[in-house]
Amino acid sequence: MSAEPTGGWSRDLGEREPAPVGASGVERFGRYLLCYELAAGGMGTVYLARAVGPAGFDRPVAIKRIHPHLAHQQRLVEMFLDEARITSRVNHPNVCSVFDFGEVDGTYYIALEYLLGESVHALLAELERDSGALDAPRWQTIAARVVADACEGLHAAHTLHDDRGRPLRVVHRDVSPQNLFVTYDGATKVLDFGVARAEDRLHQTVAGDVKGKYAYMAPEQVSGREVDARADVWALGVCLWEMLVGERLFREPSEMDTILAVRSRAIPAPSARRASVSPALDAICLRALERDPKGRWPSARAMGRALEEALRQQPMPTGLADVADWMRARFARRRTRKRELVETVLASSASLRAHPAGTATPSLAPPAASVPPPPPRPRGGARRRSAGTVTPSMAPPARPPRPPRRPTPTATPSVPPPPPPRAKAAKSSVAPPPKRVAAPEAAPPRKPGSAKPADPALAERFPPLARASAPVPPTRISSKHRAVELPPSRRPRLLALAIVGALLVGSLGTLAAVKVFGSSERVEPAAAAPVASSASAAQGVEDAAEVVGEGERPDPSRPSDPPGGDAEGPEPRAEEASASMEEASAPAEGAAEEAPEGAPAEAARAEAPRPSRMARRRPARRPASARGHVNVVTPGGWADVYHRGRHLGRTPRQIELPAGRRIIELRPFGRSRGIRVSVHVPSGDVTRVVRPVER
Amino acid sequence: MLALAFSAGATSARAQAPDDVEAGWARYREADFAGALEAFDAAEAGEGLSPASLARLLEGRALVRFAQGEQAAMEAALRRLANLDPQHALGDDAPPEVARAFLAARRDVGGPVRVEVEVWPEPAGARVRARVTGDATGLALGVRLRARVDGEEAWREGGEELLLPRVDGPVRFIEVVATVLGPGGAPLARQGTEERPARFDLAAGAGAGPIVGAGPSDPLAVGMLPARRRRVIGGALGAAAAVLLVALAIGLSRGETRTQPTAPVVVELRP
Repeated sequence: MSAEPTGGWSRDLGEREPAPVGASGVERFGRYLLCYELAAGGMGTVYLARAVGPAGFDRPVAIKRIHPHLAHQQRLVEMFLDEARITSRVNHPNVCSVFDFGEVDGTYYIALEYLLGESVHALLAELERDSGALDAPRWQTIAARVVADACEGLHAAHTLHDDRGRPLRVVHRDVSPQNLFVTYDGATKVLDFGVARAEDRLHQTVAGDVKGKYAYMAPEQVSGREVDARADVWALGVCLWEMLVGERLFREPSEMDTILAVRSRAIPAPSARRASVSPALDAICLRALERDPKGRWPSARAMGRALEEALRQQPMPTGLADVADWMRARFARRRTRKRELVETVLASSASLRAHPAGTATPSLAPPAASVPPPPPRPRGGARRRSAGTVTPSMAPPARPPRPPRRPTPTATPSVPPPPPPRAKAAKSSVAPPPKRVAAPEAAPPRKPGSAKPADPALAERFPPLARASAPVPPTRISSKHRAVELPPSRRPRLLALAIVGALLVGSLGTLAAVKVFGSSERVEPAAAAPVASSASAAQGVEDAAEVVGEGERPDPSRPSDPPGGDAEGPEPRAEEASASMEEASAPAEGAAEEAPEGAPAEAARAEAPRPSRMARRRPARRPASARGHVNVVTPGGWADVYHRGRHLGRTPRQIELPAGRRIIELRPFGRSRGIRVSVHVPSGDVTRVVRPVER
Repeated sequence: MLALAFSAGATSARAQAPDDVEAGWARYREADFAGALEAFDAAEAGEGLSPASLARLLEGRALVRFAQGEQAAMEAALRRLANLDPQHALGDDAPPEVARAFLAARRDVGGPVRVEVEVWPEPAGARVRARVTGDATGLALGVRLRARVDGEEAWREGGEELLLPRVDGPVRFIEVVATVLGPGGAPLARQGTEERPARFDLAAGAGAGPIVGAGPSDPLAVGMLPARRRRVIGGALGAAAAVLLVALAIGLSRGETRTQPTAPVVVELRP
């Protein structure tokens, strides 16, 4: 059975050649160089850009920029920010990552990972030209693989939680072949959460407000009823159907006809249109296309698992590499072209560095210096919002700045790391207060009516922004800046205060260190080796094990088991002693873990000790997000694994814990008597715990 | 020379696969999950696995996947295990979640892989076909057929279908050995053995369609000891005996006086 040329994929492909930006081909936009215009729509434009970092550390990014003339429309700005916030929270390989978002001169933008690949829409357009390929078993399995991966990405979004652990109930609402992207490396990415629904959206959609593409909307969505994750399952079902058959499922002459078709037209099985489709894929697809949401797959993950199972039953395994091979074979020329485009962008940014006068915005060109300085910002202009926070970008220095010793998010304009969890990002957003810029002529006047990121209304609804915009306690960097601003007569007094403060901090630190070492001797076990291997490890850990008294759960109120565990108690102090400014809120996190099982997280946070001023002042030694894994095995049986009263699962189990020395408790066969094992969790690495148990 | 080298290579591969299973378990016991998976994968890609070692491999893989939080992969391994040996007894390392998933897998899969043999009389010989049934998880990777006509010395070998020509007269009977092969070359199901092949008498059924082997084959005995089941039964019997003993002791220790009602107590209520 061949595909009918009625699919219409290539008709509305809408692909266009990337157009160079401006007359010079490059435009500076905050800390980015916009090089090519990739796509433009009613709301904004997408550019291929370079994130300019220090010492030539550049990377290609896609910049999605809202049209400047729409920047004063609060509704659109909120939608735009919502997209950024939701996407930046989803940290999943099957969702396009957000690196950064914020505002430059009143223009909001999102910096996304630039993907080399094709949309599913483009894949279908390509297959329309080669109808025989749609019948090939390989395509069927690739379609299943792509949708299965998209299911995982969407499931990650659907199950997002806010900082307090409350579900955000994100629904993408615009899943379509245009928003499913397959990279040339074979990975599938879900794009564009622009109309996604979430509990904490700035812009709340009311029931009846229909957003998305009608042909991929679930019946309840086109009816304007409340939707949940199952609406995305429906859309995935439509995508899968269309990928398997090679035709549009709901392609009607008018929107009204499309809505009617979505609501009531009989949906044929894919195999009825294309006989090569397997019964298993038929069944999966039709279940996703159940009009009653209760009849659909209960979650995207359930659908993905069914697809995985169907894939496993195929004679040919289809993994990432197979999709990559298929993509490279099909899109060899386009891949080459896109790679060349990236190389061109690289070259253009290099030439820009070499010839700053060639920029489209010469007034913002960096001063001639051996190391490219951070992009200057006019007064109150550029603000960078990273992973839910707004961080004032580096002000242009009065003289060429020295390269920073260590790239930190606040001290260098380097490419921001992948968005960390919101709470952690808020921690790292401590930044120097805005400095007066000594080059007012370089600052273009702000457009009247343009949106201000520090808008109180917006800041109120955007807590991290409010935090970051609030007065920042003086840090080592900011105090230096303040000294410049103070009148000369007060400098000696300040110096004296600084010396006294330093002495005080030093003595407190010494005391803390003495206390830490004194108590750590009490709990330091013999086996805290980063990687305990084989029998020696087992023996070592066994030696370190300590049987504790009976009790259903570790009681945080017990003197022998204080919050955080008696043996772990000194660790936060040790981390404080390590003088980590970013870890200032680490005790809060730890305290949340110490909460008794079942206790609300809010209560745990409320009880969390506030970080000391000393801890806040200290420079970072290692990131607060440093975590590691522990593989726990209990040969001879299974055991419940607890850490600070939290049940982490049963052995065998790989658990993720904050780096450092930790105490885990093993309760064989669910007994109330536990065995405490001390383990050193290496940052970003895996360690092992082997503790034989007996019935 | 080349054949010798090939044979030596094949022999080493045969010997290696079960070793890889044990290596995988050893890695698992060292909590090296990634290493265990590598070893299991190597064993599956090798040769010479017995059904018991394949079951052990699948159980180990399920445990590792459980440890890694890969629920789907764990369930897949358990489904394959249930398809190989529904009566398999999981070891003590398996937590209740894995045991429950195995029970569910056993229900879903429905039974073990089996093989049926059909023999079709042909004008100048016979055609033998092996059909795999119950392969709900794609465990079967191939079929090895061996057959001979009228008690000939030489066996003919093939895949799912084998043509047995006979030019010097009609075929009287055919002896067949059919084996379903799974990962690591493990035999999953068998019809007949070299010593006692399945015998099909063609004299009566010539020209009347296929002669189907006498029922589907029995699954191979995987040979795992149902240690847990024995322990459970033993424990139950022991508990019952203990209850009986306690009841008996109570009955004997109670004297007659204890069962008599006590005298009434008069309570005077004074205003």
